[in-house]
Amino acid sequence: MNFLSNNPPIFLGFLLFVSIIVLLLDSFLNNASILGYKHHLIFTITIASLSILLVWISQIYPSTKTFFFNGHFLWDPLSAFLTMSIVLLTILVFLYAYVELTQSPTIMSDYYLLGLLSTFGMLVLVSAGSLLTVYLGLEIMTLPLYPMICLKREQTLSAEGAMKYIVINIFGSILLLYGLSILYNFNHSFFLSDFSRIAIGQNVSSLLHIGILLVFIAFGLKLGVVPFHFWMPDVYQSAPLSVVSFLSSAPKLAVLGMGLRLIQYHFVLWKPLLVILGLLSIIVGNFMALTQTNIKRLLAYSSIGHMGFILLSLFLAQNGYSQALFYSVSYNLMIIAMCGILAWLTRTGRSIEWLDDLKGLHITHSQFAFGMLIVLVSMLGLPPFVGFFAKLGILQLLVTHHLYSIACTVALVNVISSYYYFNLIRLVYFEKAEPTPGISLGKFDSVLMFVLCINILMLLLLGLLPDRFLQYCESAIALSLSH
Amino acid sequence: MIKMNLLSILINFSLGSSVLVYLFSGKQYTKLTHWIALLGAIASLIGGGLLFYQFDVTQQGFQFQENWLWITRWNIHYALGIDGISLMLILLTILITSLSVLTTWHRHDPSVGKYLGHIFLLQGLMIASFSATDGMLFYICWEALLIPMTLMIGIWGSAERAHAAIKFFLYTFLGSALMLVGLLYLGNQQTSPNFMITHFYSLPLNWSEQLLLFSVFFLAFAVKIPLFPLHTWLPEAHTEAPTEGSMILAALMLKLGGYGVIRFCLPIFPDILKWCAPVICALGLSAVIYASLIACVQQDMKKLIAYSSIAHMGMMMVGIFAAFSSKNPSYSHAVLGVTGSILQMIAHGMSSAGLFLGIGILYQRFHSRMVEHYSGLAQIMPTLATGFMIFSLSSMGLPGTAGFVGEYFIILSAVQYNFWVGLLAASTLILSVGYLLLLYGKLFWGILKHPPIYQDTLHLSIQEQIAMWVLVIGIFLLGIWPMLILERIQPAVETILKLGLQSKL
Repeated sequence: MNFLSNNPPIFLGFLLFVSIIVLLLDSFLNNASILGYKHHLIFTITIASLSILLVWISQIYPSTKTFFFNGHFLWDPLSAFLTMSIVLLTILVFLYAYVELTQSPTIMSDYYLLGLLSTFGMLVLVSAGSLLTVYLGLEIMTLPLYPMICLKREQTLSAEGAMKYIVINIFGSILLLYGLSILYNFNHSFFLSDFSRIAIGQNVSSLLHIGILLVFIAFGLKLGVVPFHFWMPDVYQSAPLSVVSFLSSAPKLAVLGMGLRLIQYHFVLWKPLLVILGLLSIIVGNFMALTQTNIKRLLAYSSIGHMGFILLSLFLAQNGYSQALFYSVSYNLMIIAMCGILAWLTRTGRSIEWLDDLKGLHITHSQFAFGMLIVLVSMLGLPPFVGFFAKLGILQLLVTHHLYSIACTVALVNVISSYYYFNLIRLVYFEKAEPTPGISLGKFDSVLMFVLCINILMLLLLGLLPDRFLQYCESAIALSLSH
Repeated sequence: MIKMNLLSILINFSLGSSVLVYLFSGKQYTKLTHWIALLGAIASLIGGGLLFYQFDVTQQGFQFQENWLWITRWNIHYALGIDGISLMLILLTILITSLSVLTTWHRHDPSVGKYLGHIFLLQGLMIASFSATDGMLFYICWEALLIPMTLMIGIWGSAERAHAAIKFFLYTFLGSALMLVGLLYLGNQQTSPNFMITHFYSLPLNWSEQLLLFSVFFLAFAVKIPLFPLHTWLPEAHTEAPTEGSMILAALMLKLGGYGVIRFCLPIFPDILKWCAPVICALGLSAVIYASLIACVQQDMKKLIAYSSIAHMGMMMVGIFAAFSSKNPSYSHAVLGVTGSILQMIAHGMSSAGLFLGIGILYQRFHSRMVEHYSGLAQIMPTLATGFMIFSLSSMGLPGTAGFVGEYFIILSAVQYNFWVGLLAASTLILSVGYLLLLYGKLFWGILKHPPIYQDTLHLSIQEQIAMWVLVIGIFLLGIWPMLILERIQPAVETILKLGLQSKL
């Protein structure tokens, strides 16, 4: 135990080891007699190893900063917090994915393998101590996502979405690389720990401006922030549901973690970008969502709006950072729960693609309708659910910084966003149902259903008792980022 | 063991009953759901009785206080406490929601458990918002109320329910969105940010701050009340909502707006109040006349009652703001007006609930809300005719009924301000006679249009009779013995108006 807690990076090795095992199992277990069990075996190994990882990290949760690999790997409360959140969210995503993927088991093992590798990249990214690791982590995280999007190879739409994602992301990576090299040039060091020594003078060179702008564009592209958001709706629409839930949750949290580490240096230069694009995302995302008829596109645009809220809270310095963490994790819980519910609905054999497919859900599947109600109301930001407190914190910070006009704009756009959330609630609750086949439950499925219930209950509980979780976010930020 | 006070017990009990009946709503209808709900309603009535009994009439300030730190980061407290105004509105809430549990007895569909669950949820949240002494807790309950109410209209309403529900939601949500920013501003103005309402009272605010904050707070409350010209959601929501939904909406939801004005706007923004009181008075008066005239020509009974609600609430606003409109508002004048408004709220709560109940009874038997489909019902439904008459008379403000006292106070206050304002306010007496008696005449008098097919279904069930007679008794009790309310709300009104008449500049 002592050895493990002294050398936290070993958990990365563990994750890599599990990925290799999964890869080997996937490649060599092709005997016809065990083919049926292979996917379930891989699923079990994946979930079990991630759960072990979760317990592992909770045992070695640090209280100070430690550097490893000559400073390339940084282990502090923030990395531990982000690692735990990412692993937890990934477990949830993988569990719900199982619900959808049992209908097409051939892609199941690919999905989990790629997911594990991407998770490995995220964990590298959130513990990055140098620019090199930032780039490395981001690439390892994104590469497995390309094939993931076109897992359903037979669909041309899938290929189109994947192509878009590849082009956009490679473009983003190049910009990031360029921006990071400018940052390096300015600071003469790869290591983030050296950055803090260089204070911003009166005359900031315009090169640094460009460098930060480039890094920000890459950051915005990965998060899906206006005006770098165009790929999101298309990719979401083309990808399978389980991939959408993976794409929209943990990777964004990881990128946010990277952003948190970078923006604390030269914060003054980041500020205008954060507030302008944050507000733009909130406005454009929510307005565009009003006219959507495809569920995944709607989720994409609403996600753009939520990313705007996160940027806006980053803009509010130290307290805003912890609020951004709170917002991001709680939003991820919501979107994952939403995708989980939709994944269950695909079990009826009907495709769940358009908004109209949800008509009268409340009569045919009242539990799912109820879950969806809670998720939607929480996304919209009505009390007593966690979404309200996430937005309340941001409004509160805006008011303490005397930014009343921004606070009012955000509050009013939120009212406009309520239209499309309530439109969904209208379809689910107020419309007549078409007859649909029921969902038959296997033995293991009740466990998955239970997890979904817990996830939705979390939205209420985190709303009623947000104190503990807020404290975790705050201490992770306060102990890790120094101003 | 956590020691909870009576208010917390009441709130948690309502929320608990809501979960319980919800859980008992299975795939099939069972009588058990109704019995559990009835037990819950009786228990909450007993709780309300205890609250009334233990309330100390002579004491100033809040009673039954309870205060826990809820969320450390924003310093939000779970702080409860009631004064006379809250007490009366809480009692009204418990009464109306319990009666609506009774009136659902005829529903035999499997979704009745969920329906009852919504009623209890509304009850719990309503009590919580009336008793919250922390501004943020008030806001949280106030916003949370929107969800069950919208769902109630949308799921169990009639044909145009989806449209009405979304309209209701958007209007009220838009109204209160900026109130949150206002609340945060008030909270942050203090040396250690917190949201206790009593701390807001002593906060110094300059003219422009008062103007902006008053507008965001008043907008939220004006939509809820609803004040002309923000009233357009109400006729639709009332019309499309199921009977119990209309009862709760008219009797309780609208009172939240009035309560908010009295609790927040009067004491926190005293200077701006005097400045804009004439405008609000004018809006209130136009609501009285405009809504009454529209009510006269309505063919849909529920719409008629909805417009009469708007008129009554306009009257209530005149009562609150008439005293503040005069050049040098005197203390006794203001007390008269605000007391009248609170009485008006409670009286309107009972009479409108009764009227909606009567219409619900008719709708359930004849499946029509149109006035023209009815005639001469008094011959076959004498009990309902009696009850409906009493509710109508109370709504018109006949002496001896609850409606009279409030309207009398309000008109007195209006006359003290300006004779013509008083005259216009008093026109409500004539106009309401117009639309309500016309409605009554068309429904219950004249020749029987449709001879009944099933004689036995015409009789009111025991549950409906209880609900009706309880409301009738309440109306007469308050009409004959208004001191029952007056002596309880007096200290609270005085405290609030002392603040409301004191300049903060």
